Amino acid sequence: MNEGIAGRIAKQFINSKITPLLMLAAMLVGIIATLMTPREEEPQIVVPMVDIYIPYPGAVPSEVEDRVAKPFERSLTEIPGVDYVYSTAMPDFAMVTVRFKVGEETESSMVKLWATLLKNMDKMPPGVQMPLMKKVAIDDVPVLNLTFWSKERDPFQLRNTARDVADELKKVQNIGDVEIKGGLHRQVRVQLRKEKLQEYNVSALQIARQIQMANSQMTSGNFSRENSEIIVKSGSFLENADDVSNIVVGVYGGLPVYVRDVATIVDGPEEVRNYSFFGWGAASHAKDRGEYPAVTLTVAKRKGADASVLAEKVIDQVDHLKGSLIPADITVTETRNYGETATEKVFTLLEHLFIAIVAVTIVVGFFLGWRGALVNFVSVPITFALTLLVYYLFNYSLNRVTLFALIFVTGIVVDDSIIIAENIHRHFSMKRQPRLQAAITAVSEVGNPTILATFTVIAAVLPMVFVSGLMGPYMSPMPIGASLAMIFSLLIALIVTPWLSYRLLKVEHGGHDEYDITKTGYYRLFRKVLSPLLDNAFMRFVAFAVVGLMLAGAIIMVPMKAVQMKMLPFDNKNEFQVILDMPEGSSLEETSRVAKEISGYLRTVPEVSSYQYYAGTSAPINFNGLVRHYYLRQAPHMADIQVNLVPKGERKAQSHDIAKKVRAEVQKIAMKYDGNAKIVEIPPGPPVLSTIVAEIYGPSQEQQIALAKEVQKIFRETPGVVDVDWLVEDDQKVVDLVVQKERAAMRGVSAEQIAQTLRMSLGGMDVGVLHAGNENDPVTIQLRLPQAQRSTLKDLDGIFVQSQGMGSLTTRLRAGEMVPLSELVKIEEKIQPKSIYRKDLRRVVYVTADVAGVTESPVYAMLEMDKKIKQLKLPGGYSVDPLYTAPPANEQKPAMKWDGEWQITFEVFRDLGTAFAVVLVIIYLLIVGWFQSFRTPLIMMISIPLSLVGIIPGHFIHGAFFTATSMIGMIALAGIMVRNSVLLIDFIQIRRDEGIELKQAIIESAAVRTRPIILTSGAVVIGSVIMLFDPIFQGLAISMIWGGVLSTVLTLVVVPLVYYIAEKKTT
Amino acid sequence: MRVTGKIITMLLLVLSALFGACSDKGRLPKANMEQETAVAEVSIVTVEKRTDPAGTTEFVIPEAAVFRRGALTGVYVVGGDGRAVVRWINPGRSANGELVVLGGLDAGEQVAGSASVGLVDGAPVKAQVSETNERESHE
Repeated sequence: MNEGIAGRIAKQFINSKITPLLMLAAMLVGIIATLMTPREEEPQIVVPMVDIYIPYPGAVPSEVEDRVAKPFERSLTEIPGVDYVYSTAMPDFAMVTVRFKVGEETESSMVKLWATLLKNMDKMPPGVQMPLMKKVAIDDVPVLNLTFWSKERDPFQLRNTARDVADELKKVQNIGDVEIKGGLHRQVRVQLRKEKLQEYNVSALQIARQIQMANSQMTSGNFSRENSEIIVKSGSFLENADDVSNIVVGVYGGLPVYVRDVATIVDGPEEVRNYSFFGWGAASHAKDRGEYPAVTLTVAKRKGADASVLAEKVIDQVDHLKGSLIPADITVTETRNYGETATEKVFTLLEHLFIAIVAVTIVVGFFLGWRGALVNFVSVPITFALTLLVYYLFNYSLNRVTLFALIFVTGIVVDDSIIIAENIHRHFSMKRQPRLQAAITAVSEVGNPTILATFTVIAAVLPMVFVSGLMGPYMSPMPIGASLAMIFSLLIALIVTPWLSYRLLKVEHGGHDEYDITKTGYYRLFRKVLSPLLDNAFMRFVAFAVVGLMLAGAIIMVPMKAVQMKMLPFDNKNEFQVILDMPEGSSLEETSRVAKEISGYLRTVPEVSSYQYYAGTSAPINFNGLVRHYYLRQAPHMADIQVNLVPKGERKAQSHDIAKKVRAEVQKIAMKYDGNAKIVEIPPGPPVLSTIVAEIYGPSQEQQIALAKEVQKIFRETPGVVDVDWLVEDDQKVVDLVVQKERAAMRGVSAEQIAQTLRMSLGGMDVGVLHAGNENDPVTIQLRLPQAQRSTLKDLDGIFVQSQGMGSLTTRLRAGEMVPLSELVKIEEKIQPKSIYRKDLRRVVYVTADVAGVTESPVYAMLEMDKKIKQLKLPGGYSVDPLYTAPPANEQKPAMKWDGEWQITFEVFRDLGTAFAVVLVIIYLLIVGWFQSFRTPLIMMISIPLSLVGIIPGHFIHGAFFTATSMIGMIALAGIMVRNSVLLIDFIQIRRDEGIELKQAIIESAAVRTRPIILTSGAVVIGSVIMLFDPIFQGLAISMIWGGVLSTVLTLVVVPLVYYIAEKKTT
Repeated sequence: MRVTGKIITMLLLVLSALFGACSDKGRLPKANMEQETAVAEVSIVTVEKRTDPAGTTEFVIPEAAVFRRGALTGVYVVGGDGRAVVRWINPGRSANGELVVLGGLDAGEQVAGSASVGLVDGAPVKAQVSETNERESHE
């Protein structure tokens, strides 16, 4: 018999001394690689995203849009590799977000972007300041949050402590950004006293100028004398509050006027800008209902670093600082530790891997005895060890996606070894040849089809690499990891398995009879089942009809909504956030009060271990917040609540169910105060602006908002659609102090003076920093009216500006004359112009929502709302036909496009569908190449659609969604099923070549091949069972299990029958 | 006789110690509970809405109701459930023992009249009828 590659390899290694050494070496490097590969929760996703802030002080949004946002956008879209350009034109500045195509290199993208920006700076109108460019990367997401809270201390002291700790922590290796959220900075506040200013004839601007001038020091030069140089310095910096208070700002009645005469100087916390509090939840069993001022220290990691190692080091360091830097009355609580969760996730997955291997081994044991099982038990870990080594060498981290790839292939990688071991076992039982020879013959016999089969499975999974868009980086480790594992498993099946089988496998029954296929149970079974079908054309027809009906029945379940499609189900996480938006113009205290009330409810939820709310400042971001720009949520009307749940093991409910449960109550509280609260969970896949996004385009902002209102109404009316919101600010009242130019000119006051004086009095102005040696943060000196004196318009009465006198050429007044501000301005009340959002050069208004409850899948909610939106009658007789894949061609009339998760779902299923088509073609080509027939491959591929008979009802039985992972399972299953057919038909042909009649050959081959086919499919099924319990991988498991079982059974019957019909005519 | 007496005394001692330990254990979680802090009696005042001659309206509370924690200013709001809850406010100008609240409180809300009596966030309180309760508002 021709040995082929497989046989030759087996011959080389079956008695070689090197084989066991190779096994040992592979195991060792695998273990070392597993320990050394960095562990993290999320996959390393490189989506170069850059935020550009372009300040244009004083401009209204429409001006910012026209002068700044538009020209920049236009030039940015010219850059190759740019995927999307978003912009927001707000009062006083524009924010442009550029998203490069996934996989574009970050550094070169940044350089291109910067060059383009600078090239266009000359086209900017005067007043536009230098842009600030910030790269947004996955490594900006803190991996560790430490909350400093105290029953006695205030936010100012807490921040001081946290800042000192942060300074120490920066020394830890591999640490990234360390930030402090919440708390108050130290500031020297110069609180102007209006009545004194008037009394001493001093203006606010004058004080600012004097402080700035006093705060300078410079090196003047040097004297050279007697061969040495002496450096000359002059001036002095302000070092403390006393220095500030002793500055002379003017002269009154021949005496100097000091800052302290006209202002109160306070060195201490700045004015309250945020409220951040920590409290225990019901699950913590702490009985105190209090909540404590808190600041959060967030620790990010450097790219490629191991999150768990870093977290451990940091926590260790913090423990050392307790007692010294951290006083005893400040408690440090870990409120996020992605290092720990990553390790936990990795070890759970590794445990799952192990369980899967054991389960598969047991299955093999049933068929081949414990010795056969041992062969597999040894070969599978070696496969994984090698794959993990490659992960390490390719700089992959161990995260949920890379490990998922391993679990996914557990059932598949054992197959090669099973087929080889099974065949060796069979040949040993036949006893036609001496053992060594029998083993080599056995490998030769199935070796080549095994190689082919392995490549069909690789061909099936590999096209998934081509999934584009944000989902690409999530998917790509899967086909790569799976393909690598498959190749290793093939090598091991050819090198290690024969070696092990030769030594381990024994034939239990010791009879000397020749092995006879016709005596086995399988043969009798298949004779019984197949013979009537082979003989009787009508019976055959009935069989096909039954299978056809089953298939049709399964497929019809999809349009019947018995099985729903969803991108990815939610994972079971230990946290979620509540995002609270009060109406624009709400005071910080009001926002914090609502946040507190919501927190007060959340703490009573039995699974909540702790919470922290941040009003006026953003909570530490997670992956989601990164894409949604939650780190910009720093306005007084915004609050974030971070809710931490007890670890997965200690609760029954999944985090998604808890989030669903609390939503109603949280929103009820928010509604009471006209606020909008959203429950935000960590998405299992790539984050998007919101699950459902309606992008509304139109010729004018008014029309867009009008349509958005209607769409929003439809959103709210649709059951299952929750967290409805839009990115349109509420009307916020603005008091516009219009400078009366003529009057101002007559008094020798410039508009700029007025603007600056007002800015200083109300908003405060930083006039410099203290140059104190031992402060880590800069201590600013701020000039402002005290809070109590700037709460009403009436308070403007006492503010004065100084006339510039004759110098201004417009007045006869004496220079320095005090002019009350109220004489120079007219008060007008206005509505703050709304921010303008743009996406890819079009104005857009976003309406966002989430789905939960009745429909969990956005697609169905969208289809339902689609109907209602189409019926909308707009002023002007327009109607709207929502678009799905591309924005409208023009903005002549109002239009709408669905975006959000849909966009990614669409891209993924489109790409996976294409991948599947490519897979089919490649498989076809491979088999054509092997069997040299155009028809045979088609027969084999019949088993692919048969898997649907199992997959779809399987999802129905489990009440699960058909997700992207289900689709992956289906694609992989196509490879496995074709392989089974290959093995089956290959054997029929071998038998027929040996001169056996067609029907007999078919029955015999079915009988002989049943064991390995059931074994391999059984391995796939059993190996997948463990995944059923994971919310994300459930779909994959269902596909593999149900699809595997039904497809295997049907394959064993249908494929031989079709083959018979096809071959009957040729013979 | 004396020996038996000793034994009995010892037994009693041991028993009481045991009981003590047991009841201690039983009480331990309770000790942290809010029930432990006796229901505090506080005077209740209502946040007033006041209109000044110029026509601007503002919210006013007595200064005694306010406590400070560093830069934070807070009051205890007594809700419908009879619990005093800390509310952070934005203080404005103060005069004659009264404080203008710029943010954080609504007119008509009930506030503990004195913040200095050792109230705890979230602890139940009992209203103490007092004259401050019925303070008339200046129109």
